[in-house]
Amino acid sequence: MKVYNYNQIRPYDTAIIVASAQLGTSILTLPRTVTEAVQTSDGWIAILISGLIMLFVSWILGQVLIQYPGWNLVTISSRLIGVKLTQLFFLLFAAVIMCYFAIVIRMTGLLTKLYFFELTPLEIIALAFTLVVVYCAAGTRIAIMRLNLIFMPMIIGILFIVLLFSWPQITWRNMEPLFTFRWTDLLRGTGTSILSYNGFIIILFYGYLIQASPKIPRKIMMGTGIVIFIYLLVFVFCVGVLGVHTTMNVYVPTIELAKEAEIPGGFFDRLQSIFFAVWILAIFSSAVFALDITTLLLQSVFQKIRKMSWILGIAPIAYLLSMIPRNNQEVFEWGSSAIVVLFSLSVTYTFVLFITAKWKGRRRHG
Amino acid sequence: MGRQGHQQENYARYLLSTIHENFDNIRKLLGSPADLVTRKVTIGMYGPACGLVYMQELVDMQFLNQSIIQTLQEAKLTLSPQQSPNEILLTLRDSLLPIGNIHNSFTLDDAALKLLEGNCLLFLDGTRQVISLGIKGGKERSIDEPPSEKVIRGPRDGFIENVAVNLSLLRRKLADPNLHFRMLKVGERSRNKVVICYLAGVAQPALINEIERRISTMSVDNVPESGSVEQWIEDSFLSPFPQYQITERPDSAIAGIVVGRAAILIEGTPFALIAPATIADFFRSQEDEYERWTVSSFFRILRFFAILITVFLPGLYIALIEYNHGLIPSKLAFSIAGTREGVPFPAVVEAFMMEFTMEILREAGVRLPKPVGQTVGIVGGLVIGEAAVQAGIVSPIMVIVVALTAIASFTLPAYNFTAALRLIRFGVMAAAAVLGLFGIMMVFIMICIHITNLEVYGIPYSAPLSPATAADWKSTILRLPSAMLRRRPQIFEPMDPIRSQPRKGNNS
Repeated sequence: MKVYNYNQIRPYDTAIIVASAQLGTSILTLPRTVTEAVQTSDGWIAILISGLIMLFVSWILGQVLIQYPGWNLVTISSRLIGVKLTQLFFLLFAAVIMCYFAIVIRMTGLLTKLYFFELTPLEIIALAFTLVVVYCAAGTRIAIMRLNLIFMPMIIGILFIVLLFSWPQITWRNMEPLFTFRWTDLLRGTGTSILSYNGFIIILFYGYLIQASPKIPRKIMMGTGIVIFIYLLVFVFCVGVLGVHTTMNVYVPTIELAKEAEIPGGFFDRLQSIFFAVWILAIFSSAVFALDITTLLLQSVFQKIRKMSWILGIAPIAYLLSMIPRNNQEVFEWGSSAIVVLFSLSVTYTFVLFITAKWKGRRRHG
Repeated sequence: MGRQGHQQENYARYLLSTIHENFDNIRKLLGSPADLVTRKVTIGMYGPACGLVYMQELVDMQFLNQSIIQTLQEAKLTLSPQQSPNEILLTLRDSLLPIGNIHNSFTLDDAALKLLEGNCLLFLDGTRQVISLGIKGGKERSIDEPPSEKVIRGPRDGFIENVAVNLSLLRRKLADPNLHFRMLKVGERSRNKVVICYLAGVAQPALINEIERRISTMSVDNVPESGSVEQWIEDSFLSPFPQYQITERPDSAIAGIVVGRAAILIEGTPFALIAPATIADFFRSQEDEYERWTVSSFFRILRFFAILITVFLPGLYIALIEYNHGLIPSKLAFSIAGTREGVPFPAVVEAFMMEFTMEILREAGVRLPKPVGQTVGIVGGLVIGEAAVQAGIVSPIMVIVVALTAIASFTLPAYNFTAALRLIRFGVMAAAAVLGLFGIMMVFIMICIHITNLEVYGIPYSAPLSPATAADWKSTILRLPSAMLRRRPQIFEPMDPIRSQPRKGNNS
């Protein structure tokens, strides 16, 4: 029997969890995708614009949450848009997020193979990863939140170590000339970079765990704000250190950035391996979020089946899915299309909830 | 008295009315043990006789002879023949016997229990009552420095096996009327006293009740040590991590009590449990509170790194040598490769072999008597380490790794926590052997998953790291100046969160 109750996410933790949900694999490739689209060093403008849009979306999401504090999303959603539509949305989400989970598994295997081993088969790495994710998802939901609170300082810490030690390598000339973008390119860049914020939706699903507080919209915005800041820093450093052309042409420019960083004293020769080792934590949390939310969604639609059965059902399917892409190119392509679908679905759903909530709210008061 | 597993019940199950019958009955009940003494004493010169029953050496013999028997024999009170035996008993109790701890018993069960606890029973003809005289005695260890928790600075007293003495040690350090002791009896046969000590008005009443409830569910024959209680009332028995802090030091127990936790003292062992405990509690030594804050904070951080070394260093060695050579700076890589030249085993085998040897040495050192134990240290440390390198079986780097790991594991004040980490270390090594650095990360994640899922009385084991209560870090992760520690740690939700108020001196 419990004496104490620590079953809620406090407002401060909300910010960290929102940030943690968004930081994952996408930051690794973000400088490349944005520079590819914008073609000049002005990608940071695209990141900033998309960030501001996301701040707005975060605020909207927060509005939905504070209107129904402590409510389950199924209940909120069924009340606002009806049971049938809710179930449809949930099933769509479940399908997309499961695909996203599969992509994350594959990405982990791919990157681990790239930076840690040459010989160990990818399947084994991915299997080990999936099993640990299953172990985590099998625990309580609040423990997943706590896990993120532990990981976040490490993730941010290693990122700042990399940035600190690549500071001397920055050539500011790489950033010049400023403001030479074409509007169409910038628009495309904004479209690409906004996808990197796709994890924001998870806080909607975990809304029922959050302690009721009027600060919630602000905290969610704060989480997104942290992510914008980190994305901007990473982008500027990547372009500053690697140059526009290299940034465009390497798979994972952020890890390349770590490669360039030099720690004086010569003890750590390869910062990128250590960076990646710690970044596995960030990737792991996105994978856990994905598996847990798929479970949560399916459980809300089909209430008779136990959580554990869902986890043990979804994980093998996702693992098999992750083995379908034949090469790295395909992984990235599949990944970006899954993210596009997930992102548009998330934004649509958030707006639908917000508008109906406002409408119903007005009717209630008027 | 719980289960009574007697074969034949040829004794009466109640108190009888004559001394002799009672003597016989008790003898039969206890199976005529050698240490049972029954004695008849006449009260005063001409008074009635009374019967004393006690267990030899469980009572204070000197006190019994000089104060009880002598007082009875020399009693000058005039007992009128009209007085009933019950009245005589009352007179004896109230105006004759010089004892504070004195009780009436009406049942045989109660009387026998009192007798076995070290009281002396006094019978009188013609009454079915008996009074028990609390003259517990017998030999016990003196209070000395706790061998398992030595400090350089701090009080030198430690708990002993007698729970009454232990309680007095607590009282002496904390003379607060709110220091409450709740006593329970545990062990179907041993009837050990288990005492929950807490500060009323600070500790959550729900916590105390829950501890009491858990202890009262215990159904075991005897409770030889606090470990039996701990394992019965812990939240997860599958976890490798201890969920109670154990201590032999009254000052540690008090430190736990004043922040709203409970200390559980058990008769027969000097080890007390402190509940609830989270991961941060195992980093702390009571001495941290006594040293200057800069030093203490430094030591706490140092211990944290020591933990990382204890758990991950051998695994890291395997991963770096077998898979990720690239991570080692090239110069160091060359020198390591140089020393490993001629070593016939892969790093995995080498590491497992040496770590295993280290554990064997440690275990042998603990089991052997002190003088021989030191020999083991010398033989193991110098001879085996040195000889193994000389013989080319292991590399000198491996010996450094093993030595560093072992020494780092000694920095933690909590032995039970270190033991868990030592076990986990082998898991890390196995993972590193299979998946290198990636494997180590996976084990690290699994440890984190486990500690975030584990809850002790509802408090996350990972607190105060996560959920991060920054205010608690001042006193749990670090140890900031005392003037800054005005609040009790929040994670235990004390009823009175303020520890100290700023106060102005009177020197103006």
